[in-house]
Amino acid sequence: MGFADAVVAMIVALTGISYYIGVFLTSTASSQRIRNVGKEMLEDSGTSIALLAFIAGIFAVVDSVFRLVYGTGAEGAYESAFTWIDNELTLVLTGMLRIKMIPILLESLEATGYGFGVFGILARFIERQMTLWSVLFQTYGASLSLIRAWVIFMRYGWIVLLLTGALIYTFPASIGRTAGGWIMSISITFYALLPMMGVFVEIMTAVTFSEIFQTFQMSAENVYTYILANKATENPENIAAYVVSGLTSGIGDFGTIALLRFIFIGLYFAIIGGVMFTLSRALGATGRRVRLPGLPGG
Amino acid sequence: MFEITGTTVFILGYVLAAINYYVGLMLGSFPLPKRIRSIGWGMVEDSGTYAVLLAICATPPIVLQIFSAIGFGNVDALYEQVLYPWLGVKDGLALKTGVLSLMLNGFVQLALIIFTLMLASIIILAALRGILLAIQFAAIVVPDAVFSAVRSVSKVLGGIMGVYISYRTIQYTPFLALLPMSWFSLYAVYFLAEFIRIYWASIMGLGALIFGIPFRIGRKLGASLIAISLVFYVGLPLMPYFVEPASRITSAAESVKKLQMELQRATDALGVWAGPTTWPTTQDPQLNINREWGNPADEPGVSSTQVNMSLGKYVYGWDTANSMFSIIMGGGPQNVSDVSPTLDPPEYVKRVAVPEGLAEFTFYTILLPNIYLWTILITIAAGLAKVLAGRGYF
Repeated sequence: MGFADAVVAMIVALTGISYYIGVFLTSTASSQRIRNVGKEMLEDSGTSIALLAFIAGIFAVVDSVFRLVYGTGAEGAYESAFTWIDNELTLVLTGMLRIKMIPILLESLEATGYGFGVFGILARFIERQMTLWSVLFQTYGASLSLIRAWVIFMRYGWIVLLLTGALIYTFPASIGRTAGGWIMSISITFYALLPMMGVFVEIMTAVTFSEIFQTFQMSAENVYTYILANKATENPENIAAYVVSGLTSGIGDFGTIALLRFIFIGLYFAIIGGVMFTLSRALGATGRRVRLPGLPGG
Repeated sequence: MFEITGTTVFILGYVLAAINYYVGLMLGSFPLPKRIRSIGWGMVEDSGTYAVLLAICATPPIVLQIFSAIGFGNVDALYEQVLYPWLGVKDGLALKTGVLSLMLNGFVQLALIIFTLMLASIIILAALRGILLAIQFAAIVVPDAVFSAVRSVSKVLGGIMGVYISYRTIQYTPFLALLPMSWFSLYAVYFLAEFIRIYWASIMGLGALIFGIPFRIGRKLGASLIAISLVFYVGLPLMPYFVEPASRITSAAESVKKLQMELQRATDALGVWAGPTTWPTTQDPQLNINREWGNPADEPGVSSTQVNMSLGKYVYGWDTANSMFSIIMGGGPQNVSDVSPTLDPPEYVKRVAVPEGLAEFTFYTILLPNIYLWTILITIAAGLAKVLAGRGYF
């Protein structure tokens, strides 16, 4: 028996236990208070059955959302998410290389003996100037790696979380409503919204990965063309200065785009948090007991 | 010396029940204001409830013994036979099997990859510097431009390798942080389990004792202690049954094995670079990599030509290049020629990322045991505590 089957079986068993204890208390207890407890347990068992139907419906709803947005099911949506994150990691690697490129070139020129000590100082100076960008790229890269792992987990792990939440939710006497509601809302929200993170960020920053790369490629090609055209006539110092300015000029823009994307990823997670909170309230996870005929919070 | 055991605590509990009863009786029957008399009768009522609770608290060990006798299994044995082997801990020490070992192994492999990359960088740079020193030592006349070029190349290589190592490190950083966290939290479960297994009856007795403090002062705390001790004692050893089916341990183990193989191949290659007096001679059938070290010339039937060919092939040939390349490129291609210069960047990024099995396993082992312990068991314990405490809980 798989994990999902076992959990669904346990939910059904707990629902049955709640129902029959409720019936027993309602029909046999002499105290009004205990009869009320029995009535609440009867209501809870009905809610649990509604919850099972809700879980079954969630699969269809989420899949429909993915098909609407991506034209494919969940697998295709998640593949797009991985491609987007991998593209962003490439952006990080390129950014890190670009930041380090000029100091490396200057250091290597220094090593040939043509730097006269100045290039070495200049390399260290540029490196310090770039420290903040470097920290940004590293933080962005580490965050993306964490998000990538979380996406890997959520792709198949969401169902485990959802069912675990549902199991806790159906504990008799409503004792697991808060914890179960939160776990279910975390699972549903992240699973449905994580793959759309790339779409959101690219729309908000109005720049796609390929556009960023084209810009970088163009500046590199400009430098290369300049060297080919002027290597016979220009002084080596002028060519070196052009190379340095050509390759460093775009770093600010490149870093700004990365920073913007980082900020919008944070914003997107805030949106996910908001949706999650709303859903958890709808599921009755805020501790406020919603009376029937409310939805599963009842 | 006075020792708190289950029995002494229960004796004290009954003494408290008697105190409650007689003090209540005294207050209720004396000619005092009505309010004080009602408090007294309330205490008499509480003492009755308390005596029932003490009787209930005395039953679980007996019930568990009866369950064990009729073949339902012993809860204490579940700790030894299910929980501890699953964790991979015996007598407080982590074993080479179990979830903890797998986590530690994954962490070590990732850390070693970073370390190997650093070592590879150092060896490559040292080799270039070594060439310069050797030329100077041998007094070979070489133009200054060659020296400059080699120095320059070593600077460029060093810089690029530095960036690359930083990149690989930031890719692994979340796991280098999460895996130890998860490891420590699961290792702590062992100590919690040992504590609960040994002292659960005492904790329950203590809860019962606190429960009976006059005027319902300790009802909430007492009921919570009773519920937590009972629920955790029975629930803790069942944790593997909840976590195991979903935790992808098999795919994590495969991921770790793959990382191990890559590392082994790379360290073999590094070994040859660092010390060319040793070289592999046989194939390990399990890992399909060269592992045995020794001088092939010492083996009977091996000619010096064969030795030289083997050495030349390994030190200067494709094997070394492939092995070095494999660890640098994240274990993707097996031949240098497999990698075209127009390698798609995302494909490359995917290749050097942490394997999926290990990534999933990391989150499963962080989330599921904690959900089980601090949500499922605590929720059940809270429900039980409410039932035990009755009106006094609210």
